[in-house]
Amino acid sequence: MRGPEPNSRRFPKVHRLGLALLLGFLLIAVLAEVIAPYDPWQRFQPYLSPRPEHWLGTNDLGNDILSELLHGTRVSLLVGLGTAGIATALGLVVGLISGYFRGAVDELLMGLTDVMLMIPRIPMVIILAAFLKSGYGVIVLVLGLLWWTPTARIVRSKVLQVRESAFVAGQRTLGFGHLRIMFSDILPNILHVLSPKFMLTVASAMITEASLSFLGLGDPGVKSWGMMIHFAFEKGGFIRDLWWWYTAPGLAITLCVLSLVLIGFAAGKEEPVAAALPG
Amino acid sequence: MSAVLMKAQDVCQVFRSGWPARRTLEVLQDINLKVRSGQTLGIVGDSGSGKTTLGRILAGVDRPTCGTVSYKGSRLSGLTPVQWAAFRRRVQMLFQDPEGALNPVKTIRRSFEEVGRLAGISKSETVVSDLLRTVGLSPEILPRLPRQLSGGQNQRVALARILMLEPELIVLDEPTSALDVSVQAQILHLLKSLQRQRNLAYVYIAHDIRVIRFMCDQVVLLDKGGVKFQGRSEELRPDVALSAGV
Amino acid sequence: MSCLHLRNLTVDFATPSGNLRAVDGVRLDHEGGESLALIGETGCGKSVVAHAILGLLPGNATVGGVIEFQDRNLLAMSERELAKVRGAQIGIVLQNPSLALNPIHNIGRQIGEPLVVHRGVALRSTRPKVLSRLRRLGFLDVEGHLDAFPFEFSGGMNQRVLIAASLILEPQVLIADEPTKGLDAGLRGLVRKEMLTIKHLNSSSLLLITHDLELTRDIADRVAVMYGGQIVEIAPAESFFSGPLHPYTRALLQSLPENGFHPIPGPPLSLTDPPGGCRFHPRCPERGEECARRRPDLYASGRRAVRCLLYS
Repeated sequence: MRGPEPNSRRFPKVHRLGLALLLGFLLIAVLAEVIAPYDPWQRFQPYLSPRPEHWLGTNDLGNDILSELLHGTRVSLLVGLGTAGIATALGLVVGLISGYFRGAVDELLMGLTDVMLMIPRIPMVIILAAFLKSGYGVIVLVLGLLWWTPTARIVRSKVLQVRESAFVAGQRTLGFGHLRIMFSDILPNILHVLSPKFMLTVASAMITEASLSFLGLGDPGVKSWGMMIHFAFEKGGFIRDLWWWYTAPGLAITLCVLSLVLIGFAAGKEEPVAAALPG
Repeated sequence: MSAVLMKAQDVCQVFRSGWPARRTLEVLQDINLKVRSGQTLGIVGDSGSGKTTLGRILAGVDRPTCGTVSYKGSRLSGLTPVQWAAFRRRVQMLFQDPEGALNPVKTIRRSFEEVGRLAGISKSETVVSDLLRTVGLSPEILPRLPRQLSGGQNQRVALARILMLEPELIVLDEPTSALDVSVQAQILHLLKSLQRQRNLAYVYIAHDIRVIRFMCDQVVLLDKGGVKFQGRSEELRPDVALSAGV
Repeated sequence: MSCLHLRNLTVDFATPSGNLRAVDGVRLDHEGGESLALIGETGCGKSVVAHAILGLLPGNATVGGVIEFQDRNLLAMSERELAKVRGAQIGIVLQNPSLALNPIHNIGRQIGEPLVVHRGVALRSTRPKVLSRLRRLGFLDVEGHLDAFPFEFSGGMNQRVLIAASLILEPQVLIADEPTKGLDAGLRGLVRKEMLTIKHLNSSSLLLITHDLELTRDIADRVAVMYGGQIVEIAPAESFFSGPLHPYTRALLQSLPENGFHPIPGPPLSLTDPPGGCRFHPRCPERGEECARRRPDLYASGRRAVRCLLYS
């Protein structure tokens, strides 16, 4: 057929692949206890190479690496989703209020956003993690509180646009209050920019957690992919050429992030707001 | 002479940009007018004449820089929250752009239900269906989304939602300029019959002098923010209208 | 001389709510040198006809019939062959001119670009032609305008720039798709002047797609009316306005402001669920018993044609 291609309503193949991958990871996270061959803290002979009883061998403590990997899915996903959840929720609220009310409120909030944007995030997280020293909960909170700014900006510009639609003015004259309009009218029309950003934030959070753990700032009492790589390097896995020890979690991180990125970028939804003309 | 519903006295609107104020734009100057119940006041002018701004001020959407707008004797700037809520119900505004008149993600039925809930009106199907029929639509459009309806149909739905609140005065900002001329004729007749049935007052904003003559008893001709003519529509001379660009 | 012949043109759209026949067996002849207005309400299919001629329909459209232009069937051409026809032989000016211009290129370049693309000449050499075009469209400081950007011009000026770009290759047919839609009275007057200029100073034929009957009255030599995807009347312009034949056309003219805003009765036509027999019969003040059952053909007599059982 000649002519320009219409926006495909169905999810494109790339999106479906990402979705399938992510679902796989989610299943693993939920069913880790059932699927894993052993308890990840159970000790066997250390530094074993892959064999029928231990498909990915064992680590320095003798834990089965495959079981570690499967259990680690839970932590990584929780950190990613938790961080993205907090960051997105915060960014949404700030962007919504800023874009809707404009004026002084907007100036104030955007000023705050600019200040936050100036803080170098990774170094900040490293410092905070080093000082606070406690578990992943804190890391999730800290990351979430630092990472809402890009979302806020994106939400704000979309809100500014939607706000100019005639129907928003119409809702005001009908008598609807500000809160109602923000959440019932504007929010549904900006969700399509929010979901890709959410996905990408999950991906970034997972990588950051892995990096932090790799640097030794994670919680050694918890099995995560990042910690696995950390110990693989720290406890002689690299030197002894036990490549499966650090490659497996590395691959897991890569695939999981890839799945999120595929979903985030390939979102095939059309923009719901048709026109944005002043009344 | 029917009662005066709305009065504008010495209204002006000045927009300032830059901070501290560097540029000022005088959009309206010295506007004085009255809207009586059951009648139509037309506001006609070229684009840039300030007519939309005036409409928004009368509907209570924007506040004037100077002067007062009163509704049934009470100044809008001095209304208590309770009085404001009552005003908000009685004075409504229909906007120009039918594409943007309704939330694109809500079905027509939902758009009606939320107004019903807001106003504490029964949202039974019969009430909504009757309302739809009043504006010339069939209830079968209820499950549809705005983009599945034509501009004229969307405009009618917006009008029906307004009627749900039983207003006394509706400010209509060029409601038919974006529509086909044949659909315009239908909407104009609909507006007129609704006015008779419900004793509605209209403030009708337009740039087409023929529409104004057809719809309005009294007319205010705006030219670059100032009143160039004010009086009965029959008394507006064509050359005066032409000089203001309409 | 150019001639555009549409024979039994049908366009179907595959939509979630079923098949929608937007254009139903349209037969139309556009003679060389004439200004033909194709008028009708929003949704009657007139814009779809324009897009079908140049192969600009979206992927979910199925086109049938024949569009004959210079002894070739446009519908049977490949995309590459059609690209050569577009712009060079059949030009089109779409709605919303300001959005069609590239904000980062200057006016001179955008008007001259069609020459570069279609004739392979250097941009610099297009200068004299571009200047001449701008002058013919009423611009005064043409030398200065070459370096200007679209944002420096008003909407009306950009409209004229777009028309200049469409005309620079001197296409045989120029299709104007709703040139006055959404414009206020001032701009409409400007567009009317441009169209008149084009009509008188160019050898292009004009196919005007519009609902603006005032524009039609000033520009058109012949008028064709569409309703529900079908042509319901064709007539020379004066007889069209002085003595319309089809009841829809009559009702349409009566709804004009100058004739008193008489509305056409009844709800608008549903293209997914059209009435049987004559498409207009549910709203027709002159309908007879047969009208709900028989589908009228387009009856031609001399230079006029009507699709109505009253004239069979």
